[in-house]
Amino acid sequence: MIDNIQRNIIRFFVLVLLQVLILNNIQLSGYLNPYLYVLFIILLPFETPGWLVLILGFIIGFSIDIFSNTLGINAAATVAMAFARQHLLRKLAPRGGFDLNSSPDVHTYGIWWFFKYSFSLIFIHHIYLFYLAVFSFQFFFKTLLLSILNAIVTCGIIVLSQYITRKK
Amino acid sequence: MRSLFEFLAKFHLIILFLIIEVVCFIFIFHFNEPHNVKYLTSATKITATVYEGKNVVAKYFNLSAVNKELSEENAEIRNVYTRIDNPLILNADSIQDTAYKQQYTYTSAEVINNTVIFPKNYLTISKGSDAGIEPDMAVIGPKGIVGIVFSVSKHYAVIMSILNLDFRVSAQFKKNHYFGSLAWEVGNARIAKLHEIPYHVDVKKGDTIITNAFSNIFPSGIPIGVVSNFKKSGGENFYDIDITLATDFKNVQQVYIIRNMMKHERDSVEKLMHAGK
Repeated sequence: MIDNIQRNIIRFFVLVLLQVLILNNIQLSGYLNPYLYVLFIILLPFETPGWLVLILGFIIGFSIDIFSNTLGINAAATVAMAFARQHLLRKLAPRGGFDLNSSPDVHTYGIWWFFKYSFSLIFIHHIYLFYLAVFSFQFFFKTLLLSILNAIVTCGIIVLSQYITRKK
Repeated sequence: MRSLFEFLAKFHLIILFLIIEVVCFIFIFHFNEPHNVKYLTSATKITATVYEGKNVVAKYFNLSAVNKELSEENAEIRNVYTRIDNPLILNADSIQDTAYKQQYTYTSAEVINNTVIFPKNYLTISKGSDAGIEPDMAVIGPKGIVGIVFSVSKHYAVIMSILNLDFRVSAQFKKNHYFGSLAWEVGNARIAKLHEIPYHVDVKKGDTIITNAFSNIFPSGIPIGVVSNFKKSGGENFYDIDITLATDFKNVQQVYIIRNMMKHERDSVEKLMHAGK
C-alpha cells in the first residue's frame, strides 16, 4: 500500500520522463503535441495547501523547461495554471464541499465534472504557454488556433488516461 | 504591524504567485540572450544522460535512412575526390601553394535529442567543449545546413535549429547569386521563408538555395533547400518564397560542426570598419 505522497512523487517522475522522452518527440497530424505533464497538477489532492501547489507547479514546469531548452516558459504557464486551480476548485465545489482525503479525479466526481475542471486548467496553461513560447503577437491567430487544438488533444488524452490507470 | 500580517495572510497566494511569475520571466529574458546561457539547458549532465539513454534505443528506428544518407554523401565526396586525385590533371598543373590555408575544420557528432514542434527548437549533440565545440559554430548535416551551436557544456552542446524563430541566415540562389535572408515560421517543419528577393529576379520552382560568404559562420555553398512555391505578395516589392529545407529535421542523427579558423580575423577586421563609421 503506497500512500498519497509517494504516489504523487512517482507520478511526478513518470510524467516528466513521459513528456520529454516520448511526447515531445511525436507529432499528431502536423503540429499537435499533448502536454500530459499538467496532469500532475490536476490530480494533486484537495488537502494540498495553496502555496505548495504553486511551488510544485514551478518545479514540474521548470524540469520540463531544462529538458526542452525553454527556460521559464513551461514553469510560468504551469504556475499560472496552479494558481487558477485554487479558484476553479472553489467554483466547482459540490454543495457539501469536497472530501478532503480524495483527489479531484474522474472516479469520484464523474466524467463531466472532471472534463470541465481539467479542460479549463489545460486551456489556461496552453494559451499562456503558446503565447510565451512565440513571445510575440506576430502569429496571433495561428497561435490561438494551435493552443485550442492542443488543449483539446491534451484534455482528451488526460481523460482517457484516467480510465487506463483506473484503480482496482 | 498586525494589519500587515493580516494582509499577507489574506493575499499570500497572490503574492507568491506573482513572485514566481517574475522569477520565470527573469529566466525567459535571460535565456533570450544566447551568450548568457551556460546552465540549465539540455546539455547539462542529468538531462543529457537521460537523452543519451533514450538515444541508445531510439537511434535504431531510423538507422537505414541514416545509412542511406551517409552513403550518398560518401559517393558525392568520392566523386570530388577522384577528380582531384586524377594524375592526368594533377601532374599537369601541380602547384606548391604556400598561401593556401585551410579555413574550415569539421567535427562529426551524434544528435541525442531533437524537437520540431515548438516555436523555438533545439538539438542536443554528444560533443562539447572537450571536443573543441564553441558557441556560434556552424552545424550541417549530410544534406544541408542544420543550425548554429547555442551553448556548450563539457561533453554536450545545444544547437539552435533552423526551426527556431530566432534563427536567421543569409542565403542566395545558386544559379544567379541573388541573396536574401532565410527564416522559419511556426507550423511546418519542412518549409522556411526566403525574404528580400525583389521582383526582377527570375525565380523558378526547384531553384537551389545555398549559403553565401556574407555569413561569418557558414562556409559558402552549403545547400539550404529548394524553392517549392513562390508568389508576389501584395503591396511589397519582394517575393513571398517557400523553401523546402534540404535537411529533414524529423530524421537528423549525424551532424558536422564547422570551425571557421579565420573567424576572429574577419571579426576584428569588420569591427574596425564599424568602429570607423
